[in-house]
Amino acid sequence: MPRAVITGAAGGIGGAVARTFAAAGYELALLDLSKAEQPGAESIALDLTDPEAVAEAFERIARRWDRIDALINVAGINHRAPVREMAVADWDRMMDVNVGHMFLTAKNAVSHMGEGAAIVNMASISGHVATPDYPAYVTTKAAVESFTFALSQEVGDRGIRVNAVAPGWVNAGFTDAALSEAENPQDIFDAAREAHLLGRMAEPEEVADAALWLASPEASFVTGQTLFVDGGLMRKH
Amino acid sequence: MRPLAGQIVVTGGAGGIGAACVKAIRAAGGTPVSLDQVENPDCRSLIVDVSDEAEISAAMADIREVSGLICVAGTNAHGRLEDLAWEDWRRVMAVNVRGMMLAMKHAQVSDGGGIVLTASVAAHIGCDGYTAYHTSKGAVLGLMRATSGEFAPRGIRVNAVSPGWVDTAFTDRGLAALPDGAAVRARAAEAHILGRIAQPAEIAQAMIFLLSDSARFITGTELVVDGGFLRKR
Repeated sequence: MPRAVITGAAGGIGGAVARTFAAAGYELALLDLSKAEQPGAESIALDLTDPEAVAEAFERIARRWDRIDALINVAGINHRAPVREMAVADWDRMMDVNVGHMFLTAKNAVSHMGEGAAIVNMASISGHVATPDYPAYVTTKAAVESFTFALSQEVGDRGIRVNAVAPGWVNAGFTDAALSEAENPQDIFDAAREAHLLGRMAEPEEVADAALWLASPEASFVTGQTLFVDGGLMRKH
Repeated sequence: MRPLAGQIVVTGGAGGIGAACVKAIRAAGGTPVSLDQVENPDCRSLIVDVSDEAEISAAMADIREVSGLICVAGTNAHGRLEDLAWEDWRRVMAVNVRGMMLAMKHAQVSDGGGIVLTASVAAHIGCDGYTAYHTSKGAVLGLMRATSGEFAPRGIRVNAVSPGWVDTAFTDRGLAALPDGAAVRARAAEAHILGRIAQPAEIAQAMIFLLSDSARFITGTELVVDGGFLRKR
């Protein structure tokens, strides 16, 4: 039975990733700020930006498992502020959570990974197009891709692959927040229809399927890459 | 990966990557049909010149409805700009670009189906002496992006796979044409982060993933399957 560690598993995309990997026969360890509810999985609540807490979580995982086959880094947050109004603490928090946690989990995971293992990091089309008023998010998501290909070089000789998935809009928690702020929620679905060639936003399971494939042996020659799961948004932009 | 169903046409289905696609399609539950200049004994094969509209159109009419199309057929010509004959340039563009356009134009892809074009890492880097090939593969990416919008209203997704070095007869022929082919081949493995070149089946796996329902929100994009070749300098 293959084994996967998933961060952000209490969230919308992370939860879909956990369900998809469980359905594909993976044994799971789920890391998030709050405990992720997933039958049969080991769920660990922690601050993913605390180096000691992350190290402790991986020690706990290593006591149960002799190896890790997949590390799927999904955890991420958002913060709305233009640069001229950005508080340094908010900027740092965005960097720590969205890309720093991937550094910490990878740092602790790779020694338990071997030939054929894979890391998948959640990037975003926001690493390629500027979303107004979200400069920190745009910066962190571009950084996720740079981190991905830098790490792919470092662990490639051990047969470990590292890739990123870049979704467009996803019908998950982030979008729910935008919907709750919108005066007319229908406007958001209309905008999604306009933004994507396929005329809608993604379901979280569609993003999870891409992560599952990248982690699988079927993607054995794919490393250092970003797979866009964006319904044609980048092509349309 | 979710299973495939129905007929799937592979242009260049008798070559290294194409024949690997035929095997992978069957293993995933689909019915492969090869279009190539020679027969693939593993599946139904139609003998065509993919650059000829009359031949492609007749073959696609004969095959009728398909759930997917994978365009692999491609050719190469060695020659720097000043040495490259107009006829050689036109032949590479005719097979590599016009051939894919014609296959998309005439294939009877059902609503919700998929199309995968074969681009190359050659669309992103340059090697002296392969002007026509590099140009044609850049054009394939343009063709993919342009047509993804045309097919989207019918739920048909169009994507490209860009291989790096692949262990095929196509690669062997290209190397044989070089005075230092053996030395180039010996250095190829270390040009990849994964320390080796690809087997054709690894390219085929990526192509059939993009055709499958697992990739149902992926369109208009390029999947580079190069073992980290482009990332390594």
